[in-house]
Amino acid sequence: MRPFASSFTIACSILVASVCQAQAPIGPGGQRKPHANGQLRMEGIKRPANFVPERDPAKMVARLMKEFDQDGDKKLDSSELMALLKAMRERRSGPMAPGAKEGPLARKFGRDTQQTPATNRQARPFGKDDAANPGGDVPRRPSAE
Amino acid sequence: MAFYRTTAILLLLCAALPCRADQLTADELRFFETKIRPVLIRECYGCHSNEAGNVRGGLRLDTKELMLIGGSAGPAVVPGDVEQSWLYNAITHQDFVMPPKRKLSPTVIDDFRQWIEMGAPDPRASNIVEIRSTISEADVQQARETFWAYKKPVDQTPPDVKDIHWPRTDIDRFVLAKLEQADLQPTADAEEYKVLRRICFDLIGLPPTPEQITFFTEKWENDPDQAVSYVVDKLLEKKQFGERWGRHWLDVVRFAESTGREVNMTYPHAWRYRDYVIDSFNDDKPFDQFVQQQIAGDLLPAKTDEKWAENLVATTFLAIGPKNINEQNRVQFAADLVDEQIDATTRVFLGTSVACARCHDHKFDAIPQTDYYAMAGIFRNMTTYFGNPPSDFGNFSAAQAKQNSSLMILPIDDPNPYDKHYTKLELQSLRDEITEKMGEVKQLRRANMGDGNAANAQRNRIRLNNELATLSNKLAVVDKNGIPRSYCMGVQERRSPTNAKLLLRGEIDQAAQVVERGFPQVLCSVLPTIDNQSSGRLELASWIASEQNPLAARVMVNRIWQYMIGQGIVTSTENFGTTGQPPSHEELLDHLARRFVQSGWSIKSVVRDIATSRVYRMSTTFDSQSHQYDPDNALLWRANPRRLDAEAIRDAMLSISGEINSDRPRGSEVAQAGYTRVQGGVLGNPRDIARRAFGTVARNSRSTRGMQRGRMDRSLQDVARAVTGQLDQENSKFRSIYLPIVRDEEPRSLDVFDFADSSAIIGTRESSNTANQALYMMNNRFVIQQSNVFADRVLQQQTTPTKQLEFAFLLAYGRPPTSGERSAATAFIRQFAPTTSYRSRGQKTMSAFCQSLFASAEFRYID
Repeated sequence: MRPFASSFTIACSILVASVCQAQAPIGPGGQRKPHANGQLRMEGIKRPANFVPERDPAKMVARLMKEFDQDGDKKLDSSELMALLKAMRERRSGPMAPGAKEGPLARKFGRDTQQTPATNRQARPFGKDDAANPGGDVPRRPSAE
Repeated sequence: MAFYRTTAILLLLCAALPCRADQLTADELRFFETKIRPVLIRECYGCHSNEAGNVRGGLRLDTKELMLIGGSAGPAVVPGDVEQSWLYNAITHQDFVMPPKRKLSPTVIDDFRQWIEMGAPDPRASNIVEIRSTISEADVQQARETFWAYKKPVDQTPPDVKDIHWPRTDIDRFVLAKLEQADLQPTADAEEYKVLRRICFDLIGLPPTPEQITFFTEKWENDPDQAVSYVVDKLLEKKQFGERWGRHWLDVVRFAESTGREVNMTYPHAWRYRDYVIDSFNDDKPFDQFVQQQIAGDLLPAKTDEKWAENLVATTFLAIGPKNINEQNRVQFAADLVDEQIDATTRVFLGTSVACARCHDHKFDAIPQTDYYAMAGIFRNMTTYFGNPPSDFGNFSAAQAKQNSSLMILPIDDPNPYDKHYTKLELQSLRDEITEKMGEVKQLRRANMGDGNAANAQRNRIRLNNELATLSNKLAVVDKNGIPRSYCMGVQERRSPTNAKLLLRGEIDQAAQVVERGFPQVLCSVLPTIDNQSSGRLELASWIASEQNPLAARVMVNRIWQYMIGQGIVTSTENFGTTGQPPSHEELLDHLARRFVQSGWSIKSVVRDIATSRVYRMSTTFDSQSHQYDPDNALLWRANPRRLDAEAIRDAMLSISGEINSDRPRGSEVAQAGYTRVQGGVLGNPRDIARRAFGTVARNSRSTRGMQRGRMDRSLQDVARAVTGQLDQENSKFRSIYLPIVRDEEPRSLDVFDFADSSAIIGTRESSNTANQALYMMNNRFVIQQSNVFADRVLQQQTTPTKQLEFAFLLAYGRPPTSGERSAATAFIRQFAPTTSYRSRGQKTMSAFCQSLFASAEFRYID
């Protein structure tokens, strides 16, 4: 029990540390050298446009526990921990091979944004009133009195 | 236990993350200075900086503020959001290609990506300063207490006069008192036919009919006062009153059916506002209500949909001004739009040029720059509708129309009479065409990526965009069943209003302190409060149209006086400030203003008061002694001879010939053309119009083959006229107020006689006397045609030459000819007749004679 608790604690610490490091605001000099402890290289990550870094590690841990604690005992056993680490590795390595199942941590990383089709921009037309509704705007009815 | 403590500490340490710094850190600053700024300077500043001069795309990248504002497409940089940052879009060669001829290296592109994702830290921020006004509160207080226009009008007791028999109304007492002070005498009354002609043109813009002349002359002989009263009351009830006085109002509010400026796009729904104004004058709508509807109609309570629709249409006042839709910078466009609205509102209703304080304190009036931005805060919190809605394919605009807007859907079913109903098949065909063209655009982009033939690609892109715009605009205005919707221009309040920032020198990138929404302090003895959740526009409308406002009633009665008498009591009708003219009769102005308010803000009551006064019916007889003392006739020792305005001249010719169509046409020529660009005096594509016109001519002529030369020439002339004369409307028979008013392309018949500049606020038109006008009356096709019909009428209704002569004079001048005129006319007819062919001698001779009556000064002047 005690060795397992130690492993669990260390793993959580590493997890939190690594996740927090991964979620840190991207500072200048984002190209860091990879470390043996699995810290991520910033240049490897293509963040999606709507990416919002999760800052609170306690919340991150809680979420991960919820995702991977299959038997609900509020602990991660070896198989659950393996699943978590595998998902993290898949996230680090980018889009998956065809047929591969997306892990729960998979984010919708955009492909190289240089190739975003122009038609995707129809939702935001060039320099015009973006809020205009097709067919015209229905005015807001004032009060009767 | 120790183990768990260690664990907790580890977790806590991990939780102690470096937070994102709000201020620039040293690393961020270094990143910008080493990786971003050098690239901007090297690759971008050449075309997108202040030093570049001609800023391409309206986009400057040399300051942080301007980079965030962006250009015509939108913000160049959205901190933290690469997808929404057009700068990144451009350097990755997606929708834009920058730099134009090559692509930056992947390293540089990645630097920019990182920079945007890290929040685009940028040390090039302007320091926010606070601008202090040179106009102190004490200055404002002093101006409010001492300057005549800023003090509320008070009830005035009409003064006593020596000649107690002359005045008929209180107005006469005020005028006579001043004349007597100056030892001057008013001239005698004008002849009855001149008085009638004056009343008819002033009230309804048309000459009196022979029957009206006969009736009035009889009544005048018995009792001139009653005769005038009777006629005035009758004319005030006519619908032509609204058409006449509505046109005065349209001058003031810079009404037109297009944006004007470099890219002249139509306003196909402006005609609703024209009709609203005419109806308001006919209904004698209380002026305070009229004001409130135009400034804040969208916010006024409405019990029925019809009332709501009327209120919405009234707000077209704020949307109808000239616009530079070619402006590439949307923030600049928004600032200019607000400025135009402030200028219109304050000068039209208050005779005060608040817009002069956009860039600095008002040079002459006690209006600090902060007051301007207090009002800007009111007007910026609304959406202005003046363009065309997008279709569900998106928003496509013609080339160069960088700024656009949608329209409001009316709550009643009242579509533009010319909007097309589409069948399901036609709708589908339209949609298919749009889809096909969008595919062509995509293909074009792919084909030309990396292709050096940028100019060709650009031309094709523009052509396709224009075609897409035309198709999309057609689709946008109908519902899914192809039935046209009912739209109007106007404004809508935005939620969560915010205050404006004062802009140093009016520059959009030089923002200083935030200014709370409010009104010009010098005009408010007690500043009205504006709720936080309200923009203040409704409060502004209520304040302007209230008794507490010192100017609104004065400005309006002064306009009415000016239209009736020929000059205002304050001759600078849009400027009641310190640089405007002082009132010639200050007490009279106050008296009229108070009467106006007490009558329930009734315009007709003021018109009636003036029209029934003795002052109004004076003759224009010249007196050298009076002229020596008062050459400008400021004291009104005589009536002012006035040239008829352009509409009255045209309408008078139509009325006299009998061709006038008194019905109101539905919509307008611009409504028929739809949302399109005005080019070369034509609404829409000149080729399409010529093709349609020639098709009509060919159909009417059966076949052009074998056509005689004369007939062919006439057919081609018809085609040319249909294309080039589209906006002149020489064949139309309805009143001039219904002619299409397109900025920079006003109808020739109006333009030649000093029609109001529709891009400006015009309280007083010019009145010139030029050779162009004489040539117009001699040679213009419309004048000749009306002369022909006038002649036909005379020949048909009168049998003998003597009676024909008298009838022609009566119609044109409102009086029979003098003996000298009779002789001259007879001589003219005798000399002219032999020059014409025998068959049409009678008609042609009478036509020429009628045209000479039209061309004369007496016809064009109110004496």
